Amino acid sequence: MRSKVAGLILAGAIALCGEETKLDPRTSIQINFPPDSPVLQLSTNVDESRATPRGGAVVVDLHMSLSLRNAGSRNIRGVTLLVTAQEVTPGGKASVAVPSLDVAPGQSFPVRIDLRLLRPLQAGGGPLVRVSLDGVLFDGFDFYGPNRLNSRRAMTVWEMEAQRDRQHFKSVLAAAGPEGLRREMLDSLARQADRPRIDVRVSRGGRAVSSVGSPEHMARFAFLKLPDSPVEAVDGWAGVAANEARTPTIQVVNRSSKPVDYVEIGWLVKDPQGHEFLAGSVPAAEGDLFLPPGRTGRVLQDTALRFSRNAGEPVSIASMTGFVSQVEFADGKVWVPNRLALQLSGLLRVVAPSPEEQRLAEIYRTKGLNAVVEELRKP
Amino acid sequence: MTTHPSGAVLALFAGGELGSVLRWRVERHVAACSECRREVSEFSELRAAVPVIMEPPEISWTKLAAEMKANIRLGLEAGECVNGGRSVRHGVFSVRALAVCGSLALLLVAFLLERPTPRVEPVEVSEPAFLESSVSGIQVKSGDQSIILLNTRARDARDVNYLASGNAMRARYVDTETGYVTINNVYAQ
Amino acid sequence: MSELLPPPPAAAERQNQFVSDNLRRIFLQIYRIVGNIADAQDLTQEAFIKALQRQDQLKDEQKAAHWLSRIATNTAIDFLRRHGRMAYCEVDIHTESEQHSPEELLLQSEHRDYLEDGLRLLTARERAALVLRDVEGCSAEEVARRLDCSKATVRSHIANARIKLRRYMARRKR
Repeated sequence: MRSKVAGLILAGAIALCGEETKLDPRTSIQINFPPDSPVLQLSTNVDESRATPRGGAVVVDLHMSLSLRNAGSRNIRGVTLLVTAQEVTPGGKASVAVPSLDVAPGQSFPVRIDLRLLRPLQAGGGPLVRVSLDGVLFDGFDFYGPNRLNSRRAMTVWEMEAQRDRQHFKSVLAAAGPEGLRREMLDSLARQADRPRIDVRVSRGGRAVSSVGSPEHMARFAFLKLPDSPVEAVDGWAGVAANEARTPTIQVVNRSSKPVDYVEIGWLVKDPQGHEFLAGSVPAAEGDLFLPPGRTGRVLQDTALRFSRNAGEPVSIASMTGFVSQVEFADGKVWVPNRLALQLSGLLRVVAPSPEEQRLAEIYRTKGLNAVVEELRKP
Repeated sequence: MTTHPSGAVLALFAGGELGSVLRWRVERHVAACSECRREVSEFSELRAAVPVIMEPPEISWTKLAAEMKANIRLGLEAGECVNGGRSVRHGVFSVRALAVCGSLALLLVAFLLERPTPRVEPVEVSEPAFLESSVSGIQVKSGDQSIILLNTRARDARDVNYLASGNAMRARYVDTETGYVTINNVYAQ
Repeated sequence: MSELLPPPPAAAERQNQFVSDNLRRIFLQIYRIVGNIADAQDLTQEAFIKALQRQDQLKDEQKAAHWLSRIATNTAIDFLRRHGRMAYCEVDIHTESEQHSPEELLLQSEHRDYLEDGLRLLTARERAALVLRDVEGCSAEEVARRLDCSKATVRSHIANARIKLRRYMARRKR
């Protein structure tokens, strides 16, 4: 009751004032880190944040700069924060992750959260946004945190990709010198610029609404086999109608000698003109997959995806290709494709670069080749 | 009983949910009617099958239980309760804005205190939540509410990489100010 | 902000014991309603947090367990009503060398898939009523208490659920 009153006072204030107002971080944001967290919050700045009335709603622009410190005894490689706004989009949540870190004990580092909330004026009281720690990845792949978002696996994958790609660029530097590295950086930037883009809208279950009148047919996946993949995708299909695909289902077999409890399948679509896009990925539902060696399982997703580009132009689906993009074993170890496999299969030009490659390419673009060489010299 | 019992009656008969008088009558009918007997048998088979279907697949219970216990403890400590314990926030706005709206607020409070508190029903959201990528960021939207994680720190829209994965949408870019890669995710539950 | 004060050690110990004693039961109960481990995990956590907010209700152990079950059922039903269908992941285990009972043979691959699809046709309350009655073995009275409705409504939910499943299976057989 009291929070309802507070919410209505807020609503009335916004309606009457009709102007943009600053947010008070002490009351609008709640930040919860566990008492034994190896990451400490040093400061929070929300000076640029505003709440603006718009019709019967409030638009809250939150620009938060957190300064965090490594209070542990090992280097931090990645951090993931859980961001929730329960009074907005009940059940809706978000996360902000920063991989490819190298933060020594005692050092501080920034994390920025920029979000926009659209909420009705009559929404209840309580903090607008809650931020908590989902996970921290350390050197050696050790992890701390509640892991509600499976950030341990995600950050482990990014760290493995980072090590893979750093090793690749180091090898290029060793074999072909700085000029060879420069060519490689330019290739990376060119791939990033030329990579075909697609906009995707995802809804849970059922049709994604738009393609009324287009008959749906079951379309089969083709699969790219990556040589050392511990899991093989052997069959798959999805309901396809014009620019929508629904409920992808993929059968996988564990070809390794260890049990597997998670598989993610990368999903490419090709339009009738032959342009190929990364549509997304099909992850196994959490906790639902367990494949002993040699066993078969299914990965499926009860979602509908709608594809478009250039601000709404539908992208029809002519064919679909899948590839195993990551595997987690029951012992917690993770597999990702190696660089050569990505290159030979042609995936390198379609999928996004790893976060580490993206970071190194940005260093090249803003600070030049010597800065990249310095960066690669770090362990 | 000369007419056949309805499907609902047979379904309840198969589960033993009928009262004694009706059950006795249906029993007599089913004994003499092969069609109804077959229907009851099908209902019984489904009843036997449902518990098997509803068992979870093999899971590592120890790991799952440990995670749940930790999260329950965290949830209690952080005050992330769903019912009750909602805190009242004061002064979301600047003092000046509140001063201007003060008299209206008092009127609103008086009006509310006079009304009986209605029972709050869960909100039925008519349109399911969806996820979307756009030039400015990624959003999860449900009805007239949304959360958007913005790409404002990216150098250029073309430098943002998006990925739809399960019930999540991801955007990845290099923060021009910090030089770190930022990966935003929004989830639809 | 009003904060929950950390409970004194004895109370914390009682809370932990309460969770340990009921965790698996509640998890299974919720899983059978929502059909998905990830959601069942989240909702189980939510149900315990809700229950443990009301320490006064936990004094009588048996009543507390009943009350927790009710919170769990309602939490799962509310979730289903808000969020509709869920994804399943399945594992096909080929065990030709093992002996199967007639029920297990009946439930091989395709038939099992159809039944799972059929379960998705049920409303949240029909599914919950079916789970409580046919899986948990609750009496109609107990189901009515858990779902906070009349016995007549419970019978209606159960009958509708069984009829929908039977019709769906009959259509798939054609």
